[in-house]
Amino acid sequence: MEAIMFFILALMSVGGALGVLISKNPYRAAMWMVLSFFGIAGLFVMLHAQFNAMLQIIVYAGAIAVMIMLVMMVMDRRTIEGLKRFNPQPIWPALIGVALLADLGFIAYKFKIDLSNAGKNLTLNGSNTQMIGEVLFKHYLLPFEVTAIILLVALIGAVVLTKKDIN
Amino acid sequence: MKVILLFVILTPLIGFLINGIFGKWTKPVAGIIAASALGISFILGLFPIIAVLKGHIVEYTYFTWMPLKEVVVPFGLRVDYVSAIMLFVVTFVSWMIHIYSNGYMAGDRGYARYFAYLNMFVTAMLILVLGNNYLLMFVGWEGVGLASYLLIGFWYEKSTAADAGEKAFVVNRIGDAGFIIGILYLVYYFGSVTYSNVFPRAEHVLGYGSTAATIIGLALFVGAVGKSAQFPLYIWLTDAMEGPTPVSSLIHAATMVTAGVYMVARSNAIYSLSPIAQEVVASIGAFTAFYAATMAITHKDIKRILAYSTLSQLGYMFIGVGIGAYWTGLFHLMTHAFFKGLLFLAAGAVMHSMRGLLSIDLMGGLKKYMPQTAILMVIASLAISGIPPFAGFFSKDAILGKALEMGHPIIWIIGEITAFMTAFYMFRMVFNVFYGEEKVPGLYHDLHTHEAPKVMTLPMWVLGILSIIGGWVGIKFGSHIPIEWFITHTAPTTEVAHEAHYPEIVLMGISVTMGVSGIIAAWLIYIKKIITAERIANTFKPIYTLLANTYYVDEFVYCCIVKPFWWVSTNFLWKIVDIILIDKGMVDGTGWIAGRVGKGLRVLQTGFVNNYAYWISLGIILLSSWLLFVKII
Amino acid sequence: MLTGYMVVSALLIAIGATGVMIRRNFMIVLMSLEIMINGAGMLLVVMSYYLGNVSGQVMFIFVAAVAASETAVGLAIAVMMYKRKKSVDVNDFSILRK
Repeated sequence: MEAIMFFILALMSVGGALGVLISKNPYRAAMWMVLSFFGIAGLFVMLHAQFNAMLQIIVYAGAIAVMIMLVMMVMDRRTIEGLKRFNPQPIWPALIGVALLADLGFIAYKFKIDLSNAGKNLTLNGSNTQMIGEVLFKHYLLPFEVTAIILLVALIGAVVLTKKDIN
Repeated sequence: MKVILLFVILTPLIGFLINGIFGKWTKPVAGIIAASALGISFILGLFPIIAVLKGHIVEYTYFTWMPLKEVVVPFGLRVDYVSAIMLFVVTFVSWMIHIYSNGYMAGDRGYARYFAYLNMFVTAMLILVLGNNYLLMFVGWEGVGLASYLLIGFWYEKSTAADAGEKAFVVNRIGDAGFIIGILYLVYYFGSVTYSNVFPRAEHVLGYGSTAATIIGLALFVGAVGKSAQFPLYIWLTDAMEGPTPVSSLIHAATMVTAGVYMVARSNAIYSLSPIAQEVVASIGAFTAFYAATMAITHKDIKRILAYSTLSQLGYMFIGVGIGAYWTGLFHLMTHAFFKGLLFLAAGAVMHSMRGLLSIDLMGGLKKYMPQTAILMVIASLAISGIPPFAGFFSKDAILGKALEMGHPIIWIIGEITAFMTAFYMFRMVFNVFYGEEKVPGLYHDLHTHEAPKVMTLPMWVLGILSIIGGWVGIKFGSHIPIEWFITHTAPTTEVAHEAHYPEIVLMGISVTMGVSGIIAAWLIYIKKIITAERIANTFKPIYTLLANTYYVDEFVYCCIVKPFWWVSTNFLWKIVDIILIDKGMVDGTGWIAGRVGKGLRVLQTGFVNNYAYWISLGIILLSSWLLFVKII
Repeated sequence: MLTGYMVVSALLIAIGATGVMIRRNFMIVLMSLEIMINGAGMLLVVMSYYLGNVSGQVMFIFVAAVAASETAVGLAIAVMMYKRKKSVDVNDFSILRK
C-alpha cells in the first residue's frame, strides 16, 4: 500500500516537473508546477513531515505559483506565448541534464546510511509542528532571524527593481 | 545602586549621543542638555560616594566583556576610597565647567559639537575612573585621549590648533605603549587585570623588591608620564592650550592630566613592592615640578603660564604618590582640580572680555573692569601658592611634609624652592594683569572690556569657595587627618622604618615663608618696580633666553626626532617602498594580471543566461563525480 | 525506499536544471528553478526522516524562505526586463555581454 502511494505521488511530482519542462504554454507550465508541488507535499506526508507538507502547499503551490501567474497576467499574452519552446541546439543542454541525472542517480544508488533511527524523533507529544517549533526556536533562532532579514532584503530589492525606470 | 552607578556613566553618554547626532537641531539648547546631563551624573554619583563614606566598597560586574580562555575581562564598575574622590572631582568640576562653557562658547559655530565632545570626554573619564580593571581603564584612557585631541583641534580651521591636537595624540601614543606593556605584564604574572584580583595577590605573586614589580611599575608609569605630561613627554600640554579655554581648564588641568596620578595611586599595591619604581616616580615628579616652574616664570601668555604651572603641580602629585604617601597625591589632585580649574576659568573670562588677547604685556589694571574675576584669580593664586587657609596649602604641605618624613630631603628642598617660584610666577601674572596701570591706554575701551556674564561667574565662585575650603579636610582632627583616613582604607601608606619626625609647625612655617616671599618678590618687582623685570632679564641674559625658549626642547625634538623621521619617510618609505614596490609592483601588477586573465576568459562570457547554467551544471557533475569516485566507491 | 525518494529528488533536480538550461521563456526558467530548489529541499526532509532528526525539516523551512525571496527578486527582474524589452525571452537578456 505504501509503495503504491509512493509510486503515485512520485509520478505526480516527476510528471509535473516534466510537464513544466516541455509544455509550450507558460500558463499550462505553471499548472504542471502546481501539480508537482502537490505531489511533493504528498511525499512529505509520507515522510511524517506534516508541517512541511502544509508549508509546501501554502508557500510553493500557493504563494509562489500565484505570484508567478500574477506576473504573467500583467504581461502581454502574445509575447510570452509566442516564444519558441527550446533554445537553438537543445541537444547539448539536454545531454548535460541527463548526465546530471545519471550522476545523482548513481549517488542515490550507492548511498548507504544507518537506518535504525528512521521515522523516530520527529514528533513531540505526537505533534510534528510542536517538535519543529522546539528545535527552530531553541537551536536555530539566529538563522531564523537572519531568514527574516533575507526576506526583508528581497522585499526591498523587488520594490526597488520594479519601481525604478531605467532608461 | 547597580543601576545608579551605571547611569553615572550613561547620562553623559546620552548627552553626547543627543548632541552628537541631533546637533543640528539641538544647537540652541545643546549647552543646557550637556550641563544637565552632567548635573544628573553628579547627583547620581553622590549615592556611591555616600556608600563609600559609610564604609562599603561599591563594585558591580555588568557583563563579561572579553571571555578569553585564560583571562576573563569583565565590564564592571568599582567605587572605592580612591575612585570616590576622583568620581567627585570629575563629575563636580566637569559640571561647573559645562555651565561655564554655556557662556564662554555662546555664539560659536560648533556649539553643539563642542558640548558633544565635552560629554564624550566625561563619559570616557568616568570609565577610566570607575572601571574595575586595567583594560577598562585603558578604554577610558584612550577615550579621553581622543576627546582631548578633538577638543584641542576644536577650531580646526586654525592650523596651529590642528597641529597641536596631532602633537598631543602622537606624544600620548608613546605613553600608551608603555601602559599596554604594563597591562600585558600584569596579564602574564597575574592572569587577570581586575583590581580586586590583582592587588591582594601582588605581594604574593611578585614579591617585595622584585624585578617584575619594577618593570610593571615603570611601564605603567611611562603611560602616566604621557597622559600626565611629565618630563620628557610634557611637550604636548602647552600646545594643547590652543583649544577653547574651558577645555584647557577641564581636560588639561583639572581632570584628564591627573589620570596618570590616579593610575599610580590606584596601582599602589604594585608600586609599594618596588622601591626603585617609587624612586623614579618621585624623582621625575620633583624634576618636572622644578623644571616647569622655571619655564613659567618667563612666559607672557596667560594660558601658557597656567599650563606650565599645571605641569609643575602635577609634578608635586607624582612626588606624593612616588614617596609612598598616596593619599597626599590624591589630596593635591583634588585641591588642584579646584584651584587650577578656577585659574583657567578666570583666564578664560579675561580672554573672553579681551577678545582673545592673552599676553600679560597688554593688560594691567584690569581689576577695575572685572572685579569679580580679579578676586577669584587672587583666591586661586593664593591657593596654588600655598598660603593658609587656602586649599593648596594643606595638600602641598602634606606632600612636602611626607617627603621629608619618608627620608627624601632633596625632594623636599626642590619642592620648597618650587613653591617659592610658584608663588612668584602666579603673582607676577596677577599683578601684571589685574593691578598696576594700564599698559596700553585705551585698549579696554576699544575692546569693551566688561565683567563676564553670570553664567560664567557663578561656577567660578563655586570653585573659588572650594579653593578655600577644599583643603580643610587635610587639617589634623584628633589623631587623624580626615582625608588620609578616608583614602588609606585601601591604599595603605607604606610606612618606612627610618621615619623621622620633624616639628610640623616648623615645616608649615617654612612652606608659608616660601609662598609669602614669592608673593612679596613679585610685588616688589611688578608693582613697586624696585628693580624692573627687564633689568633682571638682561643680567641673566643666557638663562632668560633659555627659559623663554622653553629649553629649546621643541627645537631639539624637531631636529633630532621629527626631521630624521621625515627623511626616512620621504626617501625610503615613500619613494622606494610606496612608489616602486606598492604602486608599480603590487597595485599595477595586480591590475595587469587581472587584465591578462580577463582577456583570456572573455571568450567564455556569452551573456546568455542558459550558458551560465551549463557551466553551473557541469560544475555540479564534476563535484558529484568526485564525490562518487573518491568518497563512496 | 530511501533510494526511491532519492531518485525522485534527483529527477526533480535534473529536470529543473535541464529546464533552466533549455527553455527560452524566462517565466518557465523561474518555475524550473523552483522545482530544482524543491528537489533539494525534499532531500532534506527525506534525510530528516531516515536519520530520525527533525533538523532537516527545519532546514526545509529556511529553504522555503530563500526560495520565496529568490522568486520575488526573479519576478521583479522579469517585470523590469519586460518593461524594458517587451519580451521574456532569456536570449534577449544578454546585456551583460554588451
